[in-house]
Amino acid sequence: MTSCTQLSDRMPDVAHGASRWTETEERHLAACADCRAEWELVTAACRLGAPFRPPADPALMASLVLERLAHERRRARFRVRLWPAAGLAAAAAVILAVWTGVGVRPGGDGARGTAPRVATAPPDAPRAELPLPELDDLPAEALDSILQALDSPGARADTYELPGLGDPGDRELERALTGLEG
Amino acid sequence: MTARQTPDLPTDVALVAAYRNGDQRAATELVGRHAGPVGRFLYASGASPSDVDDLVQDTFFRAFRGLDRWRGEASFRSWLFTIGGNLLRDEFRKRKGCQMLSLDDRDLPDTADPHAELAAAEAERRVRDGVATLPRLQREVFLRRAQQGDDYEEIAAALGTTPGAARVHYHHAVKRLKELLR
Repeated sequence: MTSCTQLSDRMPDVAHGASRWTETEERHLAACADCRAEWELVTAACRLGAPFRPPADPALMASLVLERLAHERRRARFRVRLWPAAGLAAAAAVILAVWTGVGVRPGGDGARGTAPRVATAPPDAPRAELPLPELDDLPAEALDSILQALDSPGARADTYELPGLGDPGDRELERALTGLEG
Repeated sequence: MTARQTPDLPTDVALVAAYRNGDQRAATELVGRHAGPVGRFLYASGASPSDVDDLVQDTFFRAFRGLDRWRGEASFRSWLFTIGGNLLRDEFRKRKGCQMLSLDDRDLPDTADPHAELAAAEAERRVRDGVATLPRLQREVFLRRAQQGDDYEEIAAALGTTPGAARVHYHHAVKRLKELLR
C-alpha cells in the first residue's frame, strides 16, 4: 500500500475530526500535489450541504409524519371494511331484485313483479295503540257508549278503578300475600 | 465514525423499540437526531434545496411505515440514507434528470472572510456537480464515506456489499472526481 492510498483512506476520518494527521502524513501531504487535491475534495465533500440544519421543530415534523401514517392506516382499514360492505350491498341488491322479480302473480297481467304490499295505515288513521282484545270484540255501539260514559262530566272516577283494599275479598288477598312473603 | 450516540442518550435501536411500543416522543427524537444529516445527504446527492425538506419528511414517513424491514444490520441513519436515496432516484426519474441548482440559491452563513467563503462555496459547487455525474453506487459510497464519515463496514452493511468492495467504489469515485475537478 502506498502512502498516497494510506492517506486517502484516512482523509474522511481526519476531515470529520475523528482522527488527526501524523507528522509523517503531514509531510507527505505537503509534498504530494495529488494528495492535496484529494484532501481539498474530501474537505469540500465533508462541508457539502452544511448550511442545512435539522428542522427547528422536530416534534412538528414528527407529528406531520405520524399523522400521515395514521391517515394511511385509517384509509387502509376503511378499504378492508369497505369490501365486505360492498359485497353485502351487492348481495342485498341481488336478493331485492330476485324478491321483486318473483312477485309476479300467477294469474296477473304478466307485467314485472310489483313490490309486495305492505299494510299501511291511512294517513288520517288514529295512531296505532296496543290492541285490547276485549275492546276489539265489542261492537261499535258499545265502544261509543263507553267513550261517552268516560267523557261525561258525571262519570265517577272510581268506576274504573280497582276496588279498595277495604273489600272483604281484598283482605283475604292481603292475608294470602302476607303469608307468601312470610 | 459510526459511534454517533453518547452513552447518556438512548440508542436508535432503543428509540425504535420505544416508538413501536407507542412512544411518539421516540419518533420526535429520531427525527431530531437524523433529519439534518439526511437533508445534507439528499442535498449533496443532487436534490434541489427547495425539495430537501419534503424529501426528508417523505424519508421518515417511509421509514416509520416500514420499520419492520429495518433489521439493524446497518445503522438507522444509513437505512434512512438508503430510503432517501431511493426517493431521490424516483424523483429524478419523474423529472427525467437532475436539476442542479447553484449554491447561490441557498443561504450561506455569514463569515468574517467572504472571499474564503466564496472560494469554499465554489469548491462545494464543483464537488456537488461532480458527485452528480458518478454512478449511483460510487456516489452513495463516496458521500457516506466523505460527507457522512461512515466507515466501510457501515457502508457495506447499508448497501449490501462487502467493506472491500465499498473501499474500491470509494477510490473509483475519488479518482473520477479528481479528474473532473482538475
